[in-house]
Amino acid sequence: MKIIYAQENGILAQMIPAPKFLAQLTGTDIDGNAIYPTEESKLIHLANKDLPTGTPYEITDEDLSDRTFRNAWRYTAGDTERTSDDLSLDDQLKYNHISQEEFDNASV
Amino acid sequence: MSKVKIQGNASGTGVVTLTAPNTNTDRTITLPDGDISLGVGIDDNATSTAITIDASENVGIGVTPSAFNASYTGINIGKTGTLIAETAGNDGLYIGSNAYYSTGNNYKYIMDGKACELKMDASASHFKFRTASSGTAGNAITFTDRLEITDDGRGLSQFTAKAWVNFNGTGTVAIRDSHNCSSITDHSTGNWTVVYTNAIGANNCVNGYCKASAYLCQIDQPTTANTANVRAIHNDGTVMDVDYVSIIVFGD
Repeated sequence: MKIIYAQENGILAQMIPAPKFLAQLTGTDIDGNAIYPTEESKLIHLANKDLPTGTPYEITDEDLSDRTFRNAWRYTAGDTERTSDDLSLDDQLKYNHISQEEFDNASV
Repeated sequence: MSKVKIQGNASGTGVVTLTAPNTNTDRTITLPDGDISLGVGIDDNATSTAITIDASENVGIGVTPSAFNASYTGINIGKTGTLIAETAGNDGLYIGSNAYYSTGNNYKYIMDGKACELKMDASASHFKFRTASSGTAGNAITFTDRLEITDDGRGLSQFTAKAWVNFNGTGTVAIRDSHNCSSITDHSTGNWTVVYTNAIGANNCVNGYCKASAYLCQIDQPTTANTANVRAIHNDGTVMDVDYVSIIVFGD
């Protein structure tokens, strides 16, 4: 599965997750439920992390390996379109997007 | 011929009991109740002290223990070696050379010279290798972190790769293997963005290789903290999809 979205120049972009990154998205919440129970939930997390906040996107497993006219591909919103969110403060700290000081100040 | 001697003490009341085994493996020696005093240390001969345990239960092997911080238990090994761990907390284990954590809540030099330390922190699950420039015995030490090995397997230093990835840029991008890379975005023909799992210093050094000498692997400048933009350009100037692209990143 991958993430597709529209770039500013109108061309469709494909975001391909790194297998090792998806593999380390594990763990359970305080109720014992898996935080990332499905591949789709991992890709939603990836979109929140690697896409600018507010970017419309779709998760798809469609075969896009034929690159004929690649630079003319366009993104059209479908029924399953989502929008990327902000990461939680914990995740922003985890991924080094904010410093410990910024985390502490934001947590007060 | 060796001999065994049992001698009583006229003033003492404690009993030393040697019990015969009741199984093939059970052997018991019962010593008197209470603490066993070793005097000033354990002697390896008649003239020197091999191990010293001070009133704070710090230990010196071959030396008198340093004045360790009260929250830590320390062992001195020889002239400059130290092992330190928090007595009650889980701050980790510190292996020092010419350094001990003092009552002043700081590190101090044991003798004149340089110092270094390996910190193993169980709570953060990481290793830190630290060094300090030369100082005077008894003065405070300022350590500089040189290498940190994190709980997710990254090595943070000036000399370890912050990220790398090897991918096939033809068809649907396929990542063969990677380190600290969360995704690759395929923008258009021969044009990709590598996104780092953990952000790094913005002024980093990115190097890339695209399959063969006929291809130039162009990295957008200036570099950024989260991504590296990569293009594969043929020597005729056209941007091309290529099946082997390797990127490696160093930096803060």
